[in-house]
Amino acid sequence: MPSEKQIVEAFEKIAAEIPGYMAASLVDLESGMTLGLKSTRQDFDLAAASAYNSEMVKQKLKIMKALNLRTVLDDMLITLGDQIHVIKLVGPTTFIYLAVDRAQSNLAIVRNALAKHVSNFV
Amino acid sequence: MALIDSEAGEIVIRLVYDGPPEAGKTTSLRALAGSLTRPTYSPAEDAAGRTLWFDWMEYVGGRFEGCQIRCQIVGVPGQRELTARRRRLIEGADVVVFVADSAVHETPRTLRYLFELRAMLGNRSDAPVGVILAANKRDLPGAIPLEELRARLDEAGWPVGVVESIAADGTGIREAFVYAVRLALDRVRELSQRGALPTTTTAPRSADELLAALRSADAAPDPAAAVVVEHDPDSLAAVLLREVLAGEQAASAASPERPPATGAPRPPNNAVPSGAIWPPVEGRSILSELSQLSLAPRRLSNGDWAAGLGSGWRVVSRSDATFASLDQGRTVLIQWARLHAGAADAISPRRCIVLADDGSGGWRLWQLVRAERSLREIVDGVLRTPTREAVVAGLRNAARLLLDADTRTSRLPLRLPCTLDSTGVSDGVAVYIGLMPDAGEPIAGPRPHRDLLGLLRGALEPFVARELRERGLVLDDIIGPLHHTEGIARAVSALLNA
Amino acid sequence: MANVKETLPKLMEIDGCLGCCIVDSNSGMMLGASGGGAISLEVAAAGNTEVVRSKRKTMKALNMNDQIEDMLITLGRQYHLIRPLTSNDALFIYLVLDKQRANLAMARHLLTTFERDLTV
Repeated sequence: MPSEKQIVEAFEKIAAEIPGYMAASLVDLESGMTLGLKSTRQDFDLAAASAYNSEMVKQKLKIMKALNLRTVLDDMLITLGDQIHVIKLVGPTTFIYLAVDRAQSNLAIVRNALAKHVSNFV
Repeated sequence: MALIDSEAGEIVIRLVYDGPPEAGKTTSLRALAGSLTRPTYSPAEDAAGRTLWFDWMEYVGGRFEGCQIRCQIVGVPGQRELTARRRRLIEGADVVVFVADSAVHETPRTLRYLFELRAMLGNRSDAPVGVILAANKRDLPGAIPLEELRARLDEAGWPVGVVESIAADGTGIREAFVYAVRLALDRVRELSQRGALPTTTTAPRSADELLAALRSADAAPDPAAAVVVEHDPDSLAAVLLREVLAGEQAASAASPERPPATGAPRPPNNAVPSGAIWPPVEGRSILSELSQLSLAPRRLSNGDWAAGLGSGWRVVSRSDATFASLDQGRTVLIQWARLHAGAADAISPRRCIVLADDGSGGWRLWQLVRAERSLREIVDGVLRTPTREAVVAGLRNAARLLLDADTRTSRLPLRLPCTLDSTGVSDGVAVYIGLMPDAGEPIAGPRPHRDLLGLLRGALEPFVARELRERGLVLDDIIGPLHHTEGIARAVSALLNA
Repeated sequence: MANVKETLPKLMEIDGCLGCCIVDSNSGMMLGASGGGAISLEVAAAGNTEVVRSKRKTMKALNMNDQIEDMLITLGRQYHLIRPLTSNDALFIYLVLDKQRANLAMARHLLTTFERDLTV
């Protein structure tokens, strides 16, 4: 488990590689609390968004488990009108939540940047 | 002192930072406050900067079962003279972060305080309280190696989780906090399952209240214990269930080899074809949970079939809910599913409907409904609390919930009863917890105008009259104001929707 | 303008497609399906549209005034693509693709085209 400092540094590296980076957090699945975060936007309530998304992910995993689905959830990419949101599981109890301005980026760039630095979050 | 505040949509938990003096409790708490950008408050410190009462911080964040989490984070005073104060603070904890100085020479004192903590927690009769040991000051030379620390804890038979920290620069602080929240949520879950998670409490909800409580506890010879409304495991419902189960066990013991009743339909199981269950995902998840039990449907006096008694689930099929083909069954299922979906905000969520092969070439439609705690059980619990204030608050809450349920169910195109037994709470909202009427039943017209006060009186009076009389309380005084504001609210809402 | 029956075969022709369906998110029931084991498709579709609904609720709670265009879930060896209909956002096209054989960009593009053409 990386320290809060290490988490923030890792997000800074990711931010440098994604034009349009808005905010990202490492979220504890169980409680929805953030273990570390980096945001460039005041108008985006990252802590609240992280908490709500943790509920979403928890529910999804619960269903997968209850139905004995043996597949592994890698990530979810949600394309909104203005933004791209990514949820990537990086361990049994944590996930990364990332929000990017769509006008300046695309799915491929985002997935690449994440894949490159994901080991820093485990 | 975990509680669920449904009005605010919050679960409130208390994290206590305990530990020997000078181990870094206050520093840890302040570092956490910095990390979460929240202020801290310490009512008083002595000249040397040592905590005299407590350090206090609040943080709202995270989510659990649809509610926000409000964390009260409290640091205890470490000095020996203040042990009584420390004990009272720990009594309210849902989880404890024990901050210890990692220096090897501090280990004996650390262990002494740790085992004192264990003794203080051991007096709790309800769900266990988790403890995390934050081994602090890891940066200083002479820090005890973690394996050795863990070994000492194992030896003492108390292998608590260990986290490293350097409070002075914030290392490990956030991690310990999130870990602690998770343990507290485990406890909330446990309390909730036991029906012991209160919705109101007289336990302190702010630093000022806590200070006042500690001060008065100091003054009084008997510490004024915070009163909590708790569900009584000996409630009527629980007693009845135990009797029924005992009866069932006796019956099956008497005839152990009893073959399945001839003509009994096969109960629903995991092998449900596509389109034969609603909701498609939660329903299958429910069936998978129930597949652990062996359901043996038995015929009720009205011809309906029922199974799962004692499992926490009601599994029921109306006598005439059979179909020659799966397609016929699906048509009716979809109709019924629409009814359920339309009533979603008025009925308890943990339910599903499913078509099952009845074992004789046809299909039978079942409903599976999770048994939820009813308002009747809640009121029973309320009546058992020692103080009048708690009784009044609890009854008002129950009355409010009943009115809420009445509002929700009266909007539906079908008629559902609204009583203390048929109403329960889900996600802080009052819902109908009983069986759904058949899809085929004629849909009644809109409900006649309700006398709300009459509804409340009729529902509550039979159960609470005697208790209230004994305490010198009058039901109308308690529910009167509610009925008044609710009446206005409904009139306004009717005007707006006209 | 195409209906469900006409759209499903077109979707099945997308490279790497293992299965597809149209889902009503209010009930989680499929309006039509093709390919991939019927039960797992029903389960996956209902479950994942629930995720979309959950996301919508979150966005509303956070006062975000935006629409979900699509959602991509990577599950082991499959991609699951969900796209709400612009004509009726309670309905979704649900597409399951084999990771190895599918060209994601192409699939998303085709999905957009077929979705716009679909009337239910």
